[in-house]
Amino acid sequence: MLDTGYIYLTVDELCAGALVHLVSGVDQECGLACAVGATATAITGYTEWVSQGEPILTLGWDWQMYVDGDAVCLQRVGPPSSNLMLQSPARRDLGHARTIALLNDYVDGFDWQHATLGHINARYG
Amino acid sequence: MVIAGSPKVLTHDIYRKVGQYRQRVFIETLGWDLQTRDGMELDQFDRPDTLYMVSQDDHGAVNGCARLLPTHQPYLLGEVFPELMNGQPVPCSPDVWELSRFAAVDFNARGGSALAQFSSGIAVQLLRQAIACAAQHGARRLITVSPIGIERLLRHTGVHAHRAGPPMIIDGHPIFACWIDVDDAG
Repeated sequence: MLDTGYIYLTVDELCAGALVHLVSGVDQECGLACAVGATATAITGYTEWVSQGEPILTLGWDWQMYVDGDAVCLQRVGPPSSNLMLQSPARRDLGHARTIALLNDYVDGFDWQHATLGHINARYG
Repeated sequence: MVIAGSPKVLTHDIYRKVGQYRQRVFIETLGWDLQTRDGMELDQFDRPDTLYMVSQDDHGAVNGCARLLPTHQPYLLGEVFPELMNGQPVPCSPDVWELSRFAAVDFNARGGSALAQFSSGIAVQLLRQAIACAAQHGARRLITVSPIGIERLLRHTGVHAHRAGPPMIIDGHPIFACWIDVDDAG
């Protein structure tokens, strides 16, 4: 049988651990053009987060930048990519689609925007 | 049009065009630090038994390519990037093939961007045919070493894939290893 390469966690186990920011970037095909005169909503990019310890959980997703009043904000676009297969408390695999749905909720439930914006500003500012 | 085969099947002319195309994409456009031979980007994994996918436009110009290697023979991830496997052993099986040097930049298309290659129709067609070709040669899964941008193409193509481990930052760009299911690729 082939090794799946997945890390198996329950939702509670996922939520009990903390992810740390690895790297973020602006999509380069839009970066310069968007930075010169285009609207801020045209700026998109990616962000990558990892767990600490071994094996490493990896989670990454795309974002879009928008302006809300005076604030520059980021929102997730598209599903997260990972090496994670979520399981029920009884240790049954929840499957790809359910894992993605739960990861959507997980990402939207923590403040990744602050670290991502800080990294983007430091990298491109 | 996409053609597939070993260097012998491709003919010398197409093989040379692929090498030149790869130099233009990976070295001149993306700035990767790769070796070249006679104006072609070729490495130790470009062997007589390597399988290539080549996309050409109506005029015969190469506008996409990919490389397939079985993992029970030397291959890029196993030899150069084993640390991308997140502590797991690198695949070594005739039913696991590696997809590498995937590119779908159409240099003759107006308004295109080399860095937007993963969203093109050429990319979708090339990926589907690469998966089909690998399946015909016994692959049940593919492993690929790629920029993370390929995940957008995989989602767009409807292929089920997941990461083998976290990205490594090489020259400022995240590179990662990704499992691609062949069985449900359709």
